[in-house]
Amino acid sequence: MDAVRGLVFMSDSYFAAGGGLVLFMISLMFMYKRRPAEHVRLVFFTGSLLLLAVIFCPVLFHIFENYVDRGTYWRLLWLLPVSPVMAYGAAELLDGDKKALTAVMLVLVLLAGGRFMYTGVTNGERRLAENPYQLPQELVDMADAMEGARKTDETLKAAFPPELLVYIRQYDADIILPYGREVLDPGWGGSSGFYQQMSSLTLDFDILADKCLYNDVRFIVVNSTKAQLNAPEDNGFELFGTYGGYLVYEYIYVRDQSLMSGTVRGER
Amino acid sequence: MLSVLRVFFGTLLIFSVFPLLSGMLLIRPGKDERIRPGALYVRGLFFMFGLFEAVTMVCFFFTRHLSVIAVSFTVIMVLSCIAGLVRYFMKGFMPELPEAAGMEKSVLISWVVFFVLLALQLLMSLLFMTSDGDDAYFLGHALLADEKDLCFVFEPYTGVYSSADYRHMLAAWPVFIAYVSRINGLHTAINAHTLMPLFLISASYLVYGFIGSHIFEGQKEKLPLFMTALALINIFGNQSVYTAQTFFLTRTWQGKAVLAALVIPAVFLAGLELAKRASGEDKTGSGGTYTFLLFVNLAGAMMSTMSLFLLPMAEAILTGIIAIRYKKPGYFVYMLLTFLPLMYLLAVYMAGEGLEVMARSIFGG
Repeated sequence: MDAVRGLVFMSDSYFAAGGGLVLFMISLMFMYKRRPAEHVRLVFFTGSLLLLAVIFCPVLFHIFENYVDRGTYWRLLWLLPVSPVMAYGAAELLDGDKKALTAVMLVLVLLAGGRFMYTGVTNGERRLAENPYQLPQELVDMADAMEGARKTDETLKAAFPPELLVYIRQYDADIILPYGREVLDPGWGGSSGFYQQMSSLTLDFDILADKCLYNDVRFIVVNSTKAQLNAPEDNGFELFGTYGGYLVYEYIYVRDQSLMSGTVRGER
Repeated sequence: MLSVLRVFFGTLLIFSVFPLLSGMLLIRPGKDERIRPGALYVRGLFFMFGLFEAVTMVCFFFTRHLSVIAVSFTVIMVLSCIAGLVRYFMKGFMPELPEAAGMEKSVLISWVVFFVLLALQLLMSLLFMTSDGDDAYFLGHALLADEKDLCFVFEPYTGVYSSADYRHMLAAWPVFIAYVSRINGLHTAINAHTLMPLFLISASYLVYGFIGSHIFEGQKEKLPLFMTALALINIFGNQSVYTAQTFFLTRTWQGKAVLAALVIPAVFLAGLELAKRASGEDKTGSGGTYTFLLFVNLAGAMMSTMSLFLLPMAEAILTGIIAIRYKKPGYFVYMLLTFLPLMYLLAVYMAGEGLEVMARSIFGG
């Protein structure tokens, strides 16, 4: 029963309460009725039915979720030829009589059952690209500035707020982080006191200085809207620059070290 | 100026020259030895991807240096292109180009609508950025491979040394992105987010175009309607973040998205070719399609380790149906042969480190 419930949940989540699956089934029936060439029927009609039977098999679901890779079974739904089967149905209908009326009806079905890609849901943030990297421009600017301040042979380390963790290592492979994007994963079983401080609502620069010292972190990046419990300048930080809505502080003690060892002593 | 030339010619080499010339090795000509450039491109693209995966996996026995992988792959690819050219001239292939003249006005209008929708998707891929947590991992690896010349050695999230992640290093897509950056000189993020989606989205529609040609054989006037409907289904396919359409248009550069939007449709294309041959409608031999399927499987493995489960399932069902319907069990058996590289990779995936240690003891390195 758990597997059945899991399959229903998976299908609802994927097809947004089943509308897409219903349209696909209707399109399959239409293909059966229209009878295209046999090899086409075999691959798309018979193939789809068998794929549906296999994908929605509770036994397979149970084995996959428990012994192969939990949480990714829904990707089997990519095997269903939803787009070409539905497109076949639309093309056949549009080639018939009353083309204009058919086109209007199909558009209405599309609007009712579909969701426009460019205003709909995405896994993360969507916004206008600010540069060819398609990364936030403020991140590009602050990373370039940090690199410009790098000393010869320095192992440059910087701590970033949660919202920038996804981006920084896509742009700069030479800035080492004391914690990375893994801390954002709900299933992450580790702990990071540094990240806890950086993600807290109020920034305590006394504790952050301690973290920077122990982790050889030279720069910290903070959101300018965050409250500060104490002044960064009173705790060994100097403002390095302002980039969009972010302040980059430099920990003076680490900056003034002649060479960084490059070894991570672990976090305290 | 030099860097602009490098970008142009490097990109042209990888995404045009390599697929078109190497595609000559896999293409099966139609009537009067005519070959369609689009079919050539599709064949060659999967040949290139499959070859890259194979070369990378072999190189990983000995080294993780991108430069070794890049040189090895480029040499083999150039030789393949030369071999493709030789086959082209020896066989006397002729291009079969689409004819716009004589096309009905309604058909022409349908094609125009489709290409407008395609252009819209390409434009949106350039104009909008969508952040995704997985990029920190895969593009992090790509950037590390390009800048440090070492693949899957560093932890992409933080930059420190790390143990090998066998689950993900079997899929060489981030290494391919790094390879593209090595050749054209662009940053991996620019290649992944801006440049490659233009080719990948177009290639996906090319594959669907050939699927449509099969479905509407003898009814060419319906093909643009099919393609237009397909484009609209994709554009309105954002029912959830999980759909293949959402991955295709908002995460185009990720291996999983290429698997969903390019590799899996290619499996259905191969299935249609095999079914047509098994039915007797196509009298030519099926060896070319199995070779194509081999490279599709390798390309799938390159995109995502998920393909090690998805592709065998789909192909077993499709060729099983064909074998049973037309009483030709050989179709199923030959399909199994195309799985052999995937079976090795699957064994490594399931066993983790154990098999690589064994392989190293046999091959050294």
